[in-house]
Amino acid sequence: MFEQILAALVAGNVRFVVVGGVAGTVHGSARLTIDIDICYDTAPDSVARLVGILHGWHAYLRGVERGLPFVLDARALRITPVMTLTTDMGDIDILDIIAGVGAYPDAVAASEVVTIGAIEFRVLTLPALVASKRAAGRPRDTEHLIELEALLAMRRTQARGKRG
Amino acid sequence: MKLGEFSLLLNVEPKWVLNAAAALGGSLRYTLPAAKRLAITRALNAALGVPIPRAHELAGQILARYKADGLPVLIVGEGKTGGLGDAVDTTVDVYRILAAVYTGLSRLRTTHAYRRRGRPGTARRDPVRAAAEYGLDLTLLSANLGRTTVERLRQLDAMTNFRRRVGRKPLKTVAL
Repeated sequence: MFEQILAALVAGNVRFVVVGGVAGTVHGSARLTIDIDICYDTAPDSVARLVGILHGWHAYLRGVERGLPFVLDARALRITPVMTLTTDMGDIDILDIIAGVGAYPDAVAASEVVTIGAIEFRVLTLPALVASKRAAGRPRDTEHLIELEALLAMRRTQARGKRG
Repeated sequence: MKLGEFSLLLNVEPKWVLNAAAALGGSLRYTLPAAKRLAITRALNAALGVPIPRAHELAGQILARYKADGLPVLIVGEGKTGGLGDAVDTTVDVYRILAAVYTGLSRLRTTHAYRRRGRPGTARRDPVRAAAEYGLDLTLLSANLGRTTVERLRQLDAMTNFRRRVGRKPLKTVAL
């Protein structure tokens, strides 16, 4: 599911950075997440492609009744910092800004390239992910933050071990 | 619903809601219908410069006239054009305004959570020990660090697909 979503976004030339739980998994988190969070480039060309893909997946608002007013276009994205969507491909949250990191250019600067098979995409680095969870300051993130901080320390120890 | 949640539906700062409530001469009820009306109020105020009390009155009329068919509602002779001083006729895209409110509602129901109160703790502890004391299974993390990114992502995919399948199927009762 996540691999298919990422492959479609990459193939569709959407500019994005993976953040949230899936980014945590990429860095070694053992938590189960059921949605993918992306921070997207708000440039009109990229937004148009993202909107086109989401329409193709029959995206709709997650957690609300079917048939309520819903507009998914560039204008709607411009005034909405976060959209929590459910699609044929799975649940996806699209954000134009990340707490503790910033908008897409800041997310790119705080990201690294990950390659899976033929697809290449950007993922928020582990320190940036920790910073975003700290900045969000949500009690429900407590456990995830503790895990990510432990992962960061373990990776640093691992890196020192390799160097030594 | 509390002020923070209500503000999220309108995609505004809580301060704006408080100011609007003051302009309306009292406290607002933080409900979904109130959010819809205030969203239209805000649009009229921002786009046409209609004062909040009059915009709120108009918003009530617009919602009453809106037939849920997605068609815009026409309001006649409200607001002023740039510097001409003339009142204008305006169509209000109620569907789009309501869509923005429902987008906020979706976020509220799925991902929103209150921020932790007070200052974050400043005590620096060993994060690995802190995780162990919290009860996290560090062997899972060690095992994951030994895997490649592809393996980690595919493992997550497999677990998520399993969870979705289990969640979708009704449980069967087995006669013993």
